[in-house]
Amino acid sequence: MGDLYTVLWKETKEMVRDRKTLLMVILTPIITLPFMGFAVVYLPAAQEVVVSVVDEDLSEAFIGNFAISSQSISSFLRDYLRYFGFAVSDRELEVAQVVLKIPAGFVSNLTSYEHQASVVVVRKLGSPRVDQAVNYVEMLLNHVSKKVSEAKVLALGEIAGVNLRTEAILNPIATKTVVLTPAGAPAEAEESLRLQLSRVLALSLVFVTTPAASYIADSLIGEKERRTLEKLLSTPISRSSFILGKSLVASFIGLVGGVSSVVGGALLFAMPTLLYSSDVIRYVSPEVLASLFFSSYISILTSLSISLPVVLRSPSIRAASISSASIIGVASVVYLASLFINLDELKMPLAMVLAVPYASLASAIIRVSLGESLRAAGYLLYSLAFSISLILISTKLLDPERMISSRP
Amino acid sequence: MDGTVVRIFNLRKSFGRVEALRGISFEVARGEIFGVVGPNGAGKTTLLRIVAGLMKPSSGEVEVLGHKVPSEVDRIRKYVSYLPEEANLYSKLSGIENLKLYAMAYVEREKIDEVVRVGISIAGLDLRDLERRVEAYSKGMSRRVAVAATLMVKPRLAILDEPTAGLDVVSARYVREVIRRFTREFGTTVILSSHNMFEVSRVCDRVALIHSGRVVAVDGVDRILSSVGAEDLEEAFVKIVGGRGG
Ligand SMILES: Nc1ncnc2c1ncn2[C@@H]1O[C@H](COP(=O)(O)OP(=O)(O)OP(=O)(O)O)[C@@H](O)[C@H]1O
Ligand SMILES: [Mg+2]
Repeated sequence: MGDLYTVLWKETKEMVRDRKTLLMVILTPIITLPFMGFAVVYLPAAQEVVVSVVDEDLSEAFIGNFAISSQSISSFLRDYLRYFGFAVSDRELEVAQVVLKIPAGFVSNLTSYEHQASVVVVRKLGSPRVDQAVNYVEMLLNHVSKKVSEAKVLALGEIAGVNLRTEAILNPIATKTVVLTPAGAPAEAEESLRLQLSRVLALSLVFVTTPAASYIADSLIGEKERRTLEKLLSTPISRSSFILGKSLVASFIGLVGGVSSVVGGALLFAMPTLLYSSDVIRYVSPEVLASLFFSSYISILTSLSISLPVVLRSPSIRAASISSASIIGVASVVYLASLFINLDELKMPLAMVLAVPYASLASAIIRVSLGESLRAAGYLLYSLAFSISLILISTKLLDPERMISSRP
Repeated sequence: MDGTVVRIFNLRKSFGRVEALRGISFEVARGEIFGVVGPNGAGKTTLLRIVAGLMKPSSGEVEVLGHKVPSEVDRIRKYVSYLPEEANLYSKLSGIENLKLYAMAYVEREKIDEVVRVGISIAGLDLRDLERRVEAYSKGMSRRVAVAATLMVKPRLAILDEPTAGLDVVSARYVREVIRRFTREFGTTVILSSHNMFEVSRVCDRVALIHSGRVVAVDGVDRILSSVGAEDLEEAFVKIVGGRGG
């Protein structure tokens, strides 16, 4: 009877009957990924930030025949801040995290040709959402500023009797940004959103890196602790079949984890669609899903192939948990970094980070979303070769004496 | 191959500073049930693990079925079946599935069913029980299945490390009877360890008394008893070891 088949038969039976582990592997990505999307996209808007607009000027003036009042400016600000989801209140100054004060004399300075008007923005230290409120206030004030400039330019032109366009004076250099893919093809500006989402997908690989590693560790240490290992090692079953069989079944767990992370990823994309009826969902191309699937699977193989030699050389729960903690550590750092940078565009010696399979895997997903499938395939193959070699090397590392006689 | 199944000469094994075996020598003839007897920590398990090829000797020679152990152990694994001390079955598998697993490990596809049938008859349990998962078994039931899994493949050498440890009298008796009956039937040579002197005198043809990693006597039980003028093996052991301290 084929050794490998025997080990697979036994491992599969044990795995299928271990409901808890199986459920955890399936449900973790399906639950966490959409929640991650929810947390990143929706929650910030749900945090209440109170903004007050205090009008101490209460006056009106003209630029040419263009009327400007402090009341109209403050109600413009209030309306838009409300529209952007902030709480606007002029009463409770002490609870407001952002206070915009329009001082007396503001409109008169604003409409003059000699003075600069000023406002005071007071902000309390707080969350990124407070920073966001300040950004919106500044953006709205810029808008007002621009309108006033235009009115002034037009008024001056009229006085001077010159025919003019406001753009020619306020903005004599126009900048037009054309977005291209790395290959040089024109891209929609919106595609940067797809890239952003694919970075989040790369981060999602963190969740599938652990189950297979802890599965293989538990499978080996478990045999020892449950006192089944010694008899199995004494049978004619070869050591390499023993390791390969266990790895294959653990990687099947990985496959299951990969599928559910694809489902979770699809739900993550669906989140903004459901919440804001935007159609980001159309950016989930089959290629992106396929790369997510393969990356997940290989990420799992990588983790198990790294923990395998550690557990074989020192088969204790402590060694296993240290190794899986360091695997999660490395994987999280790499996947988190890929949120912000393209790891495959670093200069030497930092470029060597790409030798870490997790870095290649994250890059693969990002490259696919940039339309560079061939490069992505290269990254995937590299990581696959890395983990398979490590597993094959591990089959030579199994030392029965060490396995049965090491004490925790 | 002559009539010697196991040949051990001047075997030593140390774990760091602990000398578990300090020069063990004996031979086991074909068809014999050979007992390795000694108190806790005497070195029985270490000795059997080395014979099973799972541990390397520090020095000395071990030959099983005419092959050097551990260097040529892969060539004899098919003919040697080992039941480790306190070995358990796979708890998520049924009793029958456990038997099938070890049958698959030892014999070709065509013979698996037949071997499992032999295993079932050795275990002597209800088929309904054997179809349930092992997690629901009592210790006695598990041990019966484990012993069956070890003997059913009709090995040339069976290595049994304390096969009756922790069993009640009824189960222990059953296991002893099974070992005697089926190994005679299959022509299997047995090395069995125990610290139960009574058990050894009932089951074994010859015994080696081990104390602190040394063989203090090897012979048939009756001859050991008469040589030191003892009533039973326990008394003989105390008489022999008493003079050595220890
Ligand atoms: N892996 C190991 N590492 C260190 N010391 C060991 C190891 N295995 C056994 N020993 C030591 O070797 C000696 C013999 O142990 P062994 O388990 O062979 O005895 P035993 O006769 O089987 O005892 P018991 O009746 O308790 O099963 C003991 O002193 C034990 O502590
Ligand atoms: Mg022992």
